Amino acid sequence: MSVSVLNSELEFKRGFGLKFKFSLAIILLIFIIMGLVTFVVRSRVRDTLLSQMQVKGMALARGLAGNAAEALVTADRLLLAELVDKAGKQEEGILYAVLVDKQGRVLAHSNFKLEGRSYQIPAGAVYERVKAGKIIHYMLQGEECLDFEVPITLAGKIENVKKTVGTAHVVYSLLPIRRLVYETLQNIFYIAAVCLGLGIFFVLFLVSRIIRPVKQLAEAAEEVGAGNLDLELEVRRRDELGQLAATFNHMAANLKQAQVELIVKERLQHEMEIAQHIQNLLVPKQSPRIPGYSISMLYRSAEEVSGDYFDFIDLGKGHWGMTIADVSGKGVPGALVMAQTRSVMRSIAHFNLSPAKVLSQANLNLYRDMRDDMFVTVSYFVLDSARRLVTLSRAGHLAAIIYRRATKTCELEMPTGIAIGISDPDTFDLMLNEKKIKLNPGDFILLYTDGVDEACNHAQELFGSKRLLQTIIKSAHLKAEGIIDSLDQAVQRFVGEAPQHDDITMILVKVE
Amino acid sequence: MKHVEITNQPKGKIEIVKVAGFMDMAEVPKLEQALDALIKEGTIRIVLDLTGLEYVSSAGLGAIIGRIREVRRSGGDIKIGGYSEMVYNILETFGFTQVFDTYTSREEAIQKFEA
Repeated sequence: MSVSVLNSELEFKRGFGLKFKFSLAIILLIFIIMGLVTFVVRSRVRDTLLSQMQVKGMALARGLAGNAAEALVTADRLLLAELVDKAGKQEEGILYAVLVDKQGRVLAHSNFKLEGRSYQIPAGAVYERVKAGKIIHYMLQGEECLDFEVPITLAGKIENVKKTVGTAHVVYSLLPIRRLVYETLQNIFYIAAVCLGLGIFFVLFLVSRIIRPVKQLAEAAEEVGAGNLDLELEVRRRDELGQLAATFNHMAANLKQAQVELIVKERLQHEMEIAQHIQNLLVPKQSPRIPGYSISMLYRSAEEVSGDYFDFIDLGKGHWGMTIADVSGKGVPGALVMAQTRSVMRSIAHFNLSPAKVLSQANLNLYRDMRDDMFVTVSYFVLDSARRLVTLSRAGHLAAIIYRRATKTCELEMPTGIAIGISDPDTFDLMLNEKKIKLNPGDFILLYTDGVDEACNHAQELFGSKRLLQTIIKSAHLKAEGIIDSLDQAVQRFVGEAPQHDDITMILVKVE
Repeated sequence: MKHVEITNQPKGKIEIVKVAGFMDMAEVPKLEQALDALIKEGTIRIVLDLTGLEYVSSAGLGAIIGRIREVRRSGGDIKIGGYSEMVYNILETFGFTQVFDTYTSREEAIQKFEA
């Protein structure tokens, strides 16, 4: 017997692995972070440097304007030149400092060659008015510049009214700022590159650590799928993957148990089928015809348990051996014991008209071979049909019921005797008795198994011998077949829908 | 559903197993498990008190007989100490009382063990 294991092929096309996906995700993440950092840093650094430049530039221009005021009045050109020269060298990034008069003529310039020319702001310049003057933003020979312009004023005759006599300019190049921003960004990129490298390395390391157990799990699942349910994964991790491995083991164990249960169930069912088959082969299909008698039988096997059997043996010269038996034990072992009992009894019966001797021989032959918890209860009688004489022997089986037409009563015949298979031959023989029973017309003998009186309804009440005897007396006027039918119907009515737990077997021999 | 109830208590080297209720075929494994557990522990002297048992199926008898034979091989025994009328009729019909020790009370069964 085989339990079918899924044979279908695994349908899976592998695409990008987890390593690749994780690495890609980390790279993208680092790029996004770096992009944001770059954007923020670039504008922040530039803004900070620009505002620093503005503060310094305006201060310088104001200083220059303040210092230049007097010199301008006195037309001290030397002093003016000195002032612009000094201001022009004040700081890195200053292109030049200029003093311009009211008419726009250059009075002093860091580049003295330009003195006397008119001071011109290139077209496209952007003006921004601030508290002390203007900041002018323009391109000068391809270079971005900031021109800080502060008016040069003198105190006028009227109090608090100042007179503008010219402007002081300090011009910065934005090149240093750009260079600084560029350098900062360059540093950020270096850091980003290192982060990226470390990130990828970390991802590869981490992912392969994560993937290893996942791969093991996948391989294990494949193996389990192929039918190896003994597989057990080592559970070392305490995380979700460890949990998954433990769950996997649990699943495999459950699957295995389910499979074992299925196999056991199928085997049991198979055994039951074999046992029933054997039993059906062994029991007579019809009752014998004996002149002057009506004989009937009922055999209703329970679904699972096969234990009962009955037999009619023609012993010749109007003698018939009739037996009913109940084998304890289910399935094939029970059926085999039954078959053995039947063949032993059949072979002995032909040479012996004494039922006690037949049962004694049966016990002698069987008791050693039977399992500890197995036994057979048997009732066996020999009918001398001419003399209407029944000789009954009983090995642990239920009493035989004798109905007497004269008194309309039942007698229970129970000669002593032990079930076959539980005692040594000496004890068995010592206890075994025979009873001779004379039958008159209208009398009958009924043998039955405990499936009849122990038939159970839903309330777990037993049919019981009282109901059995009542039914017998009520239907005793019928022929054997009619009585058996009445008994069968009575039991079925009583049991109702409750499942049949045990075989129901009866044989009835009536003198007509 | 009627069930079988099994309780056991030791008395010296003897274990007293009280079986009560209704032992149809479905309930037999409970008795088998209870007796097998005791035998596995090394208990080979058992008194079965069946006073409260209303009914025993032939499978139940088979279970008891199998265990009796098992402990007898080790020099022990299982004795019936007390039974209901219904159970006695079943035991008697079966011939059980002829082969295995059956007493009307647990005290008597214990005494026989100690004798």
